[in-house]
Parts: sequence; structure tokens; C-alpha cells
Amino acid sequence: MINKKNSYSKYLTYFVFLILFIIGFFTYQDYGIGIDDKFHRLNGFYWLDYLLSFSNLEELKKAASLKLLSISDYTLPPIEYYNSYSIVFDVPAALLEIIFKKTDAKDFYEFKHLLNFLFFYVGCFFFYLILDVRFNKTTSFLGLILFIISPRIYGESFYNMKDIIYLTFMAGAYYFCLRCFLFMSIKNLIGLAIFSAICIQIRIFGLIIPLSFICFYLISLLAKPKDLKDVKKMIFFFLSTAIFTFILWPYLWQEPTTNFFKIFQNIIPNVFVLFNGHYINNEFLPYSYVPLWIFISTPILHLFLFIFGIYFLVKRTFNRLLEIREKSISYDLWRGKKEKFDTFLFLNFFVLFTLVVLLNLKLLNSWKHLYFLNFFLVYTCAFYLYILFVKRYLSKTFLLMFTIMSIFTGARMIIYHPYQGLYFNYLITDKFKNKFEIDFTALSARHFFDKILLIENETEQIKIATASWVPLNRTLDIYSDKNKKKIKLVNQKFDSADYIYTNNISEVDKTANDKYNIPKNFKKFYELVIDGAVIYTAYKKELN
Amino acid sequence: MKIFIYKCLTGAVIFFILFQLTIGLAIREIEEKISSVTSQENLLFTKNKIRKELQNAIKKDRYLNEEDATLIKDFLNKIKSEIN
Repeated sequence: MINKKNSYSKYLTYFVFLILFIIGFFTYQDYGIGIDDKFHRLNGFYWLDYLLSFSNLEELKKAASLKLLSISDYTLPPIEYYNSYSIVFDVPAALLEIIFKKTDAKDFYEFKHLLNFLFFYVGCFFFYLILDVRFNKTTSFLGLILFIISPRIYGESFYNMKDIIYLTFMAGAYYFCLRCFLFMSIKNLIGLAIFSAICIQIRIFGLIIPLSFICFYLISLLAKPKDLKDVKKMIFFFLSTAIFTFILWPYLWQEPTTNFFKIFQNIIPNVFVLFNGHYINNEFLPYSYVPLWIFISTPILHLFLFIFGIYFLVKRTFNRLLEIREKSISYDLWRGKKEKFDTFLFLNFFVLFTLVVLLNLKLLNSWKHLYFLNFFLVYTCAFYLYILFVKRYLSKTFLLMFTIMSIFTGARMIIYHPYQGLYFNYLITDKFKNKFEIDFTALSARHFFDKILLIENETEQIKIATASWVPLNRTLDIYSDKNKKKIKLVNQKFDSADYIYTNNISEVDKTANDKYNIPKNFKKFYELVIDGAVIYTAYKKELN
Repeated sequence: MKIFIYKCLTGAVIFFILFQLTIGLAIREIEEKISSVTSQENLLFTKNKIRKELQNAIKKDRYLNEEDATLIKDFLNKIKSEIN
């Protein structure tokens, strides 16, 4: 009977992966061009040009240099300011842009969105593998569903070239971690070292993976000194992680230690963010910032399962702590190898979450930088589902409820399309949604330009001002030369504008600073509202 | 020895969390206040407030009362004589 069930789950999983691929493949062109797209393209060509300087591929070198020189933007700081960013997505994307001869801006940006989605797809696969090894087929299938129907993550999987890539490689690193816990072979350790090195390169948070892996080994030594036999393997792991970090990250090739420590300087700008109706300096975000963002932008089904899952994880870890004896036959904080992995993930989550919240890390754009926490969140949900499965509480009624709520979340993702990355759950009112930053990467700019170009079809020139902290010129890049000439961006010179675009993102406190105040001679002309959240507003100058 | 290590680790974690929630929070509030006083936003607010006050003063028939006016005049004369 169980085998039959497992077999169903296996085929359903294949089906889900197929559907995910089809949906992604047919919708990747719908997403807007975020403000980060150009910056990642520049980063990619900067490092590709550098890497090719060590090769004899003259033609490729010339093409990369030309592309690099052609990327100009007065709103971007010099590349040397942020060249510490990861190359793991940007360089292959730049290389493929040359290989596939993508010359049209719309074409190469959309191609990068597809590539971004494919990385996420691989991340889903790693996540599924983890659940499959740790739990059973039914739980891993349900866990995979939860991972995919995380609206913010799914939406961002098309244009977030850093946080989603990190999530993918983090899932890969944890998969190898689990394999190492099960069987500490050199092959698994090398896999873990490579993935950890890439994670460190993408986000410095990635350091927690190798560090906690080593810490867990030390904890296991406290209980069983015979584990000392693996010390050589741990030294090998430590050294190989350091070596792979160096090899895979050209930023470290010159002055490795100095450049490595520079990474710890937070280069997020010091700005005001709209949080719960107030403009708050992001240097002094309240403790509630991350928890509240997660609470309002995660589906209710996920939150419900997470709360119960985390309760059981905390309870078990606490009980294990109380049960520690000076001499025991088992390990202190875990009993089996799979339980060790649960504890490992739970402590990783606890440490990261506590440090981010309590150390007042400078953040902006909702919890975008912490989207990797969704991995722990969904894993905890799967853990609770597994408990229900083992205790035989996973009844048909529960599965029916799960299915209904999943379909409901999926339907809401369709309503939000292509703005799933701006999702809010049903726990908050429409009024409350608009007390937060919504379209922080200006995805809606594409919708706005399309609308204006359609309405002003006959007009020779349209002057557009921006009443938001958004460089609209980066989105304008994807339009034809004719349309680019037609639209003139006048930034905050409202006097000379015909239209004003605002997505309510402001780096200044709007209650004290009138930088983005809409002049009285402009009237609201269009507002894009999804599920009660105002994505952007367009104003038109009134003719006297 | 093993239990001592676990106790130390647990104690350190609890101490860190409590420290951040009490003293850390207080330090953060002080820093935030200093930062808000010296911020660009606050300077702009103060400038605008002064501008508004000056505009109000111009609109009024008489801004200073006679006693204050005499006092300021005498004070300015005194300063002037000392400078000369």
C-alpha cells in the first residue's frame, strides 16, 4: 500500500516539475525589467572581460569588451564600487548573451530572466532531493508544492539574480550536507565545499554553512570522542572550501584577505524605508521588521504549518538539551543522522534569524535579502507534515484541506501575475498593505511605459517625471530607438513633465521632505492596483 | 566537562539575546535619536520651520512688543558702541 502511495507521489512529482517548467517557459517574458537587471549585466561583462584577459579567445574577448563599453548608465555607481558581487550567475549569463548573439536589449534581458528561472528550477530540485532523502515520497511531494507556491520567491525567481541564486546554491549545499551526515565520503565533502564556496561568494551569510558543519562535528566529538577519526576529513573540507572560495571568486585573486574582509562592510545605502506607515531610517529598523514582513507576505498555509513545525523542533531540541548526561551512548543533541540534519537546519535558522534581527542589519526592499529563509520555513513545514504522516494524522480530510489551500494560494498567484514577488497574504487589510514598500524594483515601469506609448501613439515627444526613488531609464532600455527618442525622462523636474510615475518608493522621509510631492496641476490618470495593493500611480498634467 | 561546555554555550546565547533586548536596545534608541537630530530630514524640517516663522512675522503688523523692541535696540546700541 505504502509503495503504491510512494509511486503515485513519484509520478505526481514528475508532473509538478513538468508543469513548473512549462509555466515558467511560457511566462518568463511577462515580467518587468527590474532596477537590478542592468547592474547584473554590467557585473557579468566586467568579470567576463577580466577572466578572458587570461585566455587566447580573441574574438570573445573583443565581443565582451565591446559589450562592457556599451553599458552606460548615469544612475549606476562605478563598477569598482560593487565588483565584489558574485559572478556565478552574471558571468555565464554574459557569456551566453555573446554565444547566442543577443543584441536586442529586450531579448537579452528576457533571456536572463529565463536563465534566472532555470536556476530556481534546479533549486527546487535540490530542495526536493533533500526532502526525499530526509522524509518520504509523500512528504517530499507536499514540501515541494509548498516551496513552489511561495509567491514572493516564485515571482522573484524570474528577475532576482542574487537572492534566488543564493537560495538555489544554499539548497545544493544543504543537500550535500545531508549526504555528508549520512556518509562522510570525500566526494560528498568536495560537493559541500564547492556549494559552500559559491554560497559565500553570493552572500556572506553563506559562511554559516561550512562553519556550522565544522561546529557540529566538534559537538559530536563531545559525545563520541571516537569521531576523532574523521578529523583529517574535516581539515580537508576546511581547506577545500577555502581553496574553492578563492578559485571561484576572481574578486579575491588580488589581495585575497583585504578584499575578503571588505565584504563585511554593508554596502546597502542609508535610506528611509516605508514600514508600517512610517518612514524609518534603515540603519535603525525595529526588531519587528523581518518577522512582520515574513508574516504578511507568506501564505497562510505555510505560516500555519511552520508554527507547528517550529514548535516541535524547539521542543525536541530543548528536551535533548535537558537529557544531556556526562556519559551516554548516543549523541547529545540528536539521536539519528536524519535528526542531526533537522537540528542542524534549525540551529542555522535560529542563529541567522537572531543575528539579523538583533544586530539590526541594514535592510531595504522588504525581506528580499533574506529570501533564503524561505528554505528553512518550508523545510519546517515539511517536518511537521512528516510528523503528521508518522503519527497517522495525515488524514484524507487534512490532505483535502491542504489541496484546497494550495489551490487557493496558486489562484492568488495567478491574480498577482506577473507581480507575485509583491504578494501579501489574506491576514492583512488592503489599507495595511499600502503602508509598506511594494514595487521596490520598479517592475511596473514596463506596464507604465506600454500604457503611455499606447495612449500617446501620435505624440512626438512625451516627457515623464518620476516621483519615486527609481531610475526609469533602466527599464526604458528595452524599447525600440524610436520609442526611446519619443520618451524623455525629466527625473524630478515636474514643471516640464507631461506625466509623473510613482510607485511610492522613497529614499527620503516623505512627511518631512517634499522632493516627491506631486504638483497640484497634475491629476491622477491611472493606478495599477492588485489585490488592494497600489503597484504604481500615473499622473497627467492638466491643460489650463 | 561536557555539561559545563553546553551550559557555557547556552548561557552565552541567553546572555547575548538578553543584552541585545535590554542594553542593546537602549543604545540603539540613543543612536537613533542622535541620528535623527543631525539628519538631512531634520535639518530640512528646521529650515522650513524657520522660513514659515519669518513669513508669519512679516505678515503681522507688529511682531515684537514695545518692551522687547526697546530692549533689543538698547542691546544693539551697546554692542555697536563697544565695537566702535
